[in-house]
Amino acid sequence: MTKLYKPDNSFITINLAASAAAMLSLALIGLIMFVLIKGLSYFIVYPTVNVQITDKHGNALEYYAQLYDDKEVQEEHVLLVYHPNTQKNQQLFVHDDNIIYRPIIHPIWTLHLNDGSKIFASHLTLQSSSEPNKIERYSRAAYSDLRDEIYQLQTQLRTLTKTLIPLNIELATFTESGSMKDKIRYEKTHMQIMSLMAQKQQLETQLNGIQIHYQQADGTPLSIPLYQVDYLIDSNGLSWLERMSVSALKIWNFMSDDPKQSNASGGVFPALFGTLLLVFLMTILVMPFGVLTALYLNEFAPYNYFTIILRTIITNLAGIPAIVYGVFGLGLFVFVIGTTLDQWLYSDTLPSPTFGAPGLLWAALTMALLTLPVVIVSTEEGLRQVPEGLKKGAMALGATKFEMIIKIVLPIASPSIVTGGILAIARAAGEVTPLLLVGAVMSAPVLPVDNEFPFIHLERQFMHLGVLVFDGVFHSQTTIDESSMMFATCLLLILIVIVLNSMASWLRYRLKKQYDWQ
Amino acid sequence: MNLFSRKTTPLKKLTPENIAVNIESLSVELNNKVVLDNISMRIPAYSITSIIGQSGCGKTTLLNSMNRMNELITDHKITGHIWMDKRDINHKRENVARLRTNVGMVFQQPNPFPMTIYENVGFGLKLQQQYSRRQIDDAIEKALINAGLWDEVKDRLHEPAMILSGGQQQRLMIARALALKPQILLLDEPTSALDPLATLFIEELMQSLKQHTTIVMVTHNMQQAARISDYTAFIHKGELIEYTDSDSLFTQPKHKQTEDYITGRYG
Repeated sequence: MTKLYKPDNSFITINLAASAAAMLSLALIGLIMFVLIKGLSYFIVYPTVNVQITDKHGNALEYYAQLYDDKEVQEEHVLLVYHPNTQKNQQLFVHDDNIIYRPIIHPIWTLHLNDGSKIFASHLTLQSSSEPNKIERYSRAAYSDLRDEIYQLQTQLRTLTKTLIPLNIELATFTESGSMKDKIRYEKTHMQIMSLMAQKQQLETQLNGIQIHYQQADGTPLSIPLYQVDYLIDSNGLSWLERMSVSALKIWNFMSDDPKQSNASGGVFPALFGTLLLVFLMTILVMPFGVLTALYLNEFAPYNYFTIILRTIITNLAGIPAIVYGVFGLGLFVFVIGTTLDQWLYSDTLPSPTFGAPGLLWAALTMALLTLPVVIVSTEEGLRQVPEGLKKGAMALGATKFEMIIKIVLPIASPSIVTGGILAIARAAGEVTPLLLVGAVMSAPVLPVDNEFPFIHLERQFMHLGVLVFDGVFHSQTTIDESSMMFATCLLLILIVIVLNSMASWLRYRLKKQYDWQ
Repeated sequence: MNLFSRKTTPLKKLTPENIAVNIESLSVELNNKVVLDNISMRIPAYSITSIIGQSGCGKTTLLNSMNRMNELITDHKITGHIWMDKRDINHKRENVARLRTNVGMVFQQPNPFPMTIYENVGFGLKLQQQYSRRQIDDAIEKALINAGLWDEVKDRLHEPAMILSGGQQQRLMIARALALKPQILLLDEPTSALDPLATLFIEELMQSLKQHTTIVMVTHNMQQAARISDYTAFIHKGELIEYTDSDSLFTQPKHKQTEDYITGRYG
């Protein structure tokens, strides 16, 4: 018996494909939601509680604490407390049975210190330096008055330090020359420095004199200098709008502050800056190289075995593990080229290396090497799309090959070139492995850009968001704040890639619209 | 049809000053294959010369020889001389870019650049970097008028050239070449991609252009060659078989191969 029709099984294929796509989108949405929720929790204002905890030895301890979860729902609770002896926050995991929630009679304030830790306290009082005996209850007006005073003192201190630096340098040169003629001037400078130092000390005492006094849950009175406090909030007494503004402040601090508590708290500004600078430098390095190589391969190179092999190598370069690039960059750029440069140009500072150590330039070069195949392949794709007729037409109008490439080929290929740039940027922004070897560090003392000539210091080490996340993984076991800082960094990284991608996509769209030849 | 009323000087009676292009024993090898074999022909000035022949016989290569476009193919070998204005354009010291501004070319497929109409026509002039904006504007207007396109595009000069129809695009290509005021205009099957009405337009245009330009045209359409060209060359397998005024070639071909071709016996 012959089959009259072929059974149609295509629905199986369709269902398989559809479920694969559905799973993929679920995974993607899950990833983004996870990072979003975890990351945003870094900016949430948590409630504070007044608790009595029984520890494993049976001692009753009183704490003001931050409660990270809902006390009605869970049995195991996470509490953040402050220890004044160690001056550190500690995270406690306590079972429901061991906690007694006590009524909050006085508002519990959270003092955000500028070293990244938080003090939970009540009964705030303020003490001015001018009248040490006058201690007044905390009020917003008194607080902002003292803030103004602190600001003025700090400005004065800064200008003092600025005038001290050249004087100190002058003193050092006098000591070296040591002639009698200079002796009088030496004494004079010395006196000047001494008087300035005395002034500075006075200012510092004044600054330390402005204090904030508080009480812990067990009633112990304590105090710290007010300048150490970034800002303070009463987390339980905030309205909805105030909560939002505190969160906004936290987001701003996250973007503009330095990391604190060994990258477990504070902000990520140096890392954000480092990442953007690295990506920028890498783009400057990789685009001309990639586009020129693609131009050569596509427009000038003869079609023979050599170019075929070259193309294959370039395409396969994209598959080499990133760590190999890191090792290569360290071996060639840092150890060979960097050391040689040091011997030629910076021999007076040897043996301390200038370019002979991992730094921004080498990291950018390594990343450029890593992303080069992406740019070349994508540019070549664009070049191949330029119709032969247009090239001939330009030549027939008296254009040289160079003019033809500049005026016809590159504009038409520009969307693809931009695509190559996008892919390169997205890869460079997220890649961590090679950076650990060639210049990114967990914590850099200075930014690679400052107001000192030559303004951008390519030999300096820098911080990178990806490396910060990598570092955060080791901290994330300790406290919720620290792990959410890591996720907030992840979130920022994702946002950067999305923003860069959409900017480039928009550019690509505009170029495509302008140079559409069909 | 004015086939029999046309007056053309017979080729043999041409004086040297009436000759625009003088090709002397030109041979072209592309990719190690002989495409043109020892071709000699004199192309009269201010006339339309058609080159006909089968596909792959070397018509286009002959046309490309006159502005050295064959050199875009990496593997080429060209011998012989092509004289224009008492200069051998095949000489290795000839400025090819300048030659190509002097010898305009229009291709089979309209190939407007992805720019505006204005930029397309001004492309060649801008490359020379010696004209003021005003001169360029004037030259563009003149070229568009000569190409019979001015009335249709004068209000949308700064719109993309892609919005024009096929026939308009081809006239734009002619205007683009004319903007450089070439002495010779090479047309490579200019109407084969166009509909009959657009073809008629282009043909009329060519008749008016020959007042101040020498036109050399490759065509597959023998009626077209007979209709508009003053002289016709028949090329077969890289050799110039017959070259004379169109009237004689189409009415009394001297060679058997020519007769076979124009009567349609070669497929």
